[in-house]
Amino acid sequence: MKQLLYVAWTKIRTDLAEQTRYPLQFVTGLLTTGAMLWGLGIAAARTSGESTAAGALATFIAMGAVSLFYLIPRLLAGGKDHPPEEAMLYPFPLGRLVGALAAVSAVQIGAGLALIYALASLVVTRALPDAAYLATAMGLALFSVAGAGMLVFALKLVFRRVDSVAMLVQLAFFALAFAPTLDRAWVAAVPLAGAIRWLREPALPVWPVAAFALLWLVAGLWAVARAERAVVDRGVAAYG
Amino acid sequence: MMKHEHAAGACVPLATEVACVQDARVAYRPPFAPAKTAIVTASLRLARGASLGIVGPNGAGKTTLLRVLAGLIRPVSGDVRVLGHDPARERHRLMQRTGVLLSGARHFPERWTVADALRFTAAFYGPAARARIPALVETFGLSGKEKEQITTLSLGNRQRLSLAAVFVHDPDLVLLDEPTLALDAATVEAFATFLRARLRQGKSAIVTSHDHAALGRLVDDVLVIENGITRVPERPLDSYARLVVLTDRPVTAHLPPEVQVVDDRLEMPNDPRLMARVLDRLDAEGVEVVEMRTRSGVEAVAAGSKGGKQ
Repeated sequence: MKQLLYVAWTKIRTDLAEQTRYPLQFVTGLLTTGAMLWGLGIAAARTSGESTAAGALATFIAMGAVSLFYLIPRLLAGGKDHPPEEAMLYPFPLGRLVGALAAVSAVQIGAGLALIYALASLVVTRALPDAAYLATAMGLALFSVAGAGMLVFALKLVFRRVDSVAMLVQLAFFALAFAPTLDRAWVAAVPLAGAIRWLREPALPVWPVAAFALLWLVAGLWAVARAERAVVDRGVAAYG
Repeated sequence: MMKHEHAAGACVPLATEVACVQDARVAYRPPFAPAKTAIVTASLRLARGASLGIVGPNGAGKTTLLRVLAGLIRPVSGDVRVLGHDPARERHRLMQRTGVLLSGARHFPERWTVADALRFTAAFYGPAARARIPALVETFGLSGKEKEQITTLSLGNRQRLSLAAVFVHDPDLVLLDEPTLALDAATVEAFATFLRARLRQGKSAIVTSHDHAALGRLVDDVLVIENGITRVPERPLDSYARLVVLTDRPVTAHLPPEVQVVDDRLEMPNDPRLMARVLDRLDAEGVEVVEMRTRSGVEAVAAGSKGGKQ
């Protein structure tokens, strides 16, 4: 596992280094992301009846979840939109490899968006958000969509062209930030929805959302392992 | 060297053998599409420290056979063992000791640098692989290009990077599909020297290439695959090597029977004494030699293979 985390860290560090070769683009990206998400957060606050800060946080964690969900099937893609045959030439089972890469990516995405949210909050409200509240909401959101991302990774391994379905799921995830109510017990089982509900009602226990997120993750990892076997049995790794 | 006789049935693990394919039949079965048989029956054996070239026309099954050896496709029937593993079941373990290049390239994000790509690949194999990077950069002529982004590299330099990435963990076996694509003659020569040094260390290689002259520099033995069926040449590879002589006019002189004459082109076994006799005869007739070159056993065997239908 240590080796895999090192691999994941090497990839994230390389991607970050590549981004910082274009500092103007990097800084502009941070500023526009913060401004755009806070602006959308104001709209989310109106539709959900929450405070502006809570509405904005909902859009930030929704963006984090959508980013991770989008990224997981592309973690080993090397520019292509689906996992290439080469992903299977690394000396690790795909599930473990993608799991480690997704975990480190989630930390990167979560930390980045939490930092942007904290800075935006400081500029707009003159106050920093509660760190534990912010970290829990962001962590739950990212953890809850990881399994769904793995499922799409598995589907892309075998079927390749499932982008339209994945795009609809991404839109649905982001729309959850604007949902007027999520006041149902089963919402805890829905990726991201449970995290947004908790964000709006932090007195609720965290464990149901975390437990369902774990179930999704187990299902996603099982699907990746099953897809890896199917690809070898059918010889479709090379099919583009 | 490769054993030419194939035992019937399953592969029997031998300490001296790195790869064995016995009567493998392979089909691609994509979802919602008809199945397509890529290999009807394939068998091969490769000993430790040996190199094997696979030749055949387009679509004959060369790359598919490498995919089988790399564990990317499970054969419908037959037996495959590589470095003691069943590749389809234990691919990730096999990849610890095997380097694979498919369709002539490794792919990395275009904005990464040469150093990024090699560091990322080495990260899978630990500190020893990382320590090997500078030597590989030197070997594959990438010195001074470490900080260049991949998007700016020429096709040849991308190929050098792909090859360097394959060797980063010092694999016991390499499976190379078209490794000489876009490489200049000097780089092919340097690569051949590098590969041969590895063979002397007991490492092994299986290589496919349509550049049969280059392949002849890289391998000691050859397997022909046609229409999805493998075939071992009838004689040792060296015996197929030929000397080709082009003259300034059609040759009418009486020459030894081993020499094939077609107008101004002579082809004969690569035997120095025979060559001396032929040159004497040509000189006596006043015929001048315009060009003389050798044709490796690989080239000769490959030229003898027929066209494929797949």
